[in-house]
Amino acid sequence: MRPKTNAFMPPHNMKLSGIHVTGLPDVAIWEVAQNTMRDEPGRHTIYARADVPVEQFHKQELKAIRDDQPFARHTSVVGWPAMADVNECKERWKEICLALSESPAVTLSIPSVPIRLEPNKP
Amino acid sequence: MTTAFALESPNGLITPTRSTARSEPANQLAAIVEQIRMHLLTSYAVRCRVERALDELETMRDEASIQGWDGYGAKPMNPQAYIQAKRFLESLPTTAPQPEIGADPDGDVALDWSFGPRRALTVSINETGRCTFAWMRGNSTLRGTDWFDDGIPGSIAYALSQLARDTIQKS
Repeated sequence: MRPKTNAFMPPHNMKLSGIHVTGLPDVAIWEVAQNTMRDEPGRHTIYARADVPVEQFHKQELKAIRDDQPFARHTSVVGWPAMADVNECKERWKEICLALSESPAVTLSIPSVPIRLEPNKP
Repeated sequence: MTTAFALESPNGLITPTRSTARSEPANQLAAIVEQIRMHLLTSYAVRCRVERALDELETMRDEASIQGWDGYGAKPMNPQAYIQAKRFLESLPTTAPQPEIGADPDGDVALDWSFGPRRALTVSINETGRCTFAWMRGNSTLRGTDWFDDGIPGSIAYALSQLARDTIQKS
């Protein structure tokens, strides 16, 4: 199985969010994901995660910048091409997302059961 | 003018007819092809696959129904894009593999086909029927934009048939 291509599509602020996971054990990666996503609207379940070596972003002329905002280890993937022609722009993004999705260096991890997210109590 | 139809091309896909031919033999041929297609669509196995894809589209619409559904300010799935995607799925060649369904942050519907390592197609459909696509075949990557009107765009049908043919030849 491969990650869906649209998992890599840039959001409207053109910063694809990720987590810097180098040096983190597997359990800790899932914990970061749960702790940071449970308060996001529309986020109820984590089905899987894609681990992307940073070189794969560089290959696509993107940059992964660890900014630690809004949480520790948060990383933004920036540098998405912008073109005047909206169709061409989306084509290019899809091409990049497809390349990331199909790269053998990008691995998909699926938990044994989907992780349900309970909102943090105030 | 008569247009020849590939009833069963090597890739095994039977697509809705797109001929502009108007002669009597062409019309008869088109009717036969459509009959076969409808027969396949009413068969349990084929209909099941189409319905599964439509169910997945429905689930995705529910998941992507609110502003910010992805946690990063994504637009809800555009209702017209949903309708276009539904028509697209219903128009797919009867024996074509069904795609995985997703939603893009801009409200488009995303369809993904995977045919094995480095053989994949991804299409995004917007509210006007614009289909933005990219496909990968080994080391080649192609991309483009086409419009869904009376049938699956030729460029996307071509990509699907090439990828399906590769799969058949490899197996």
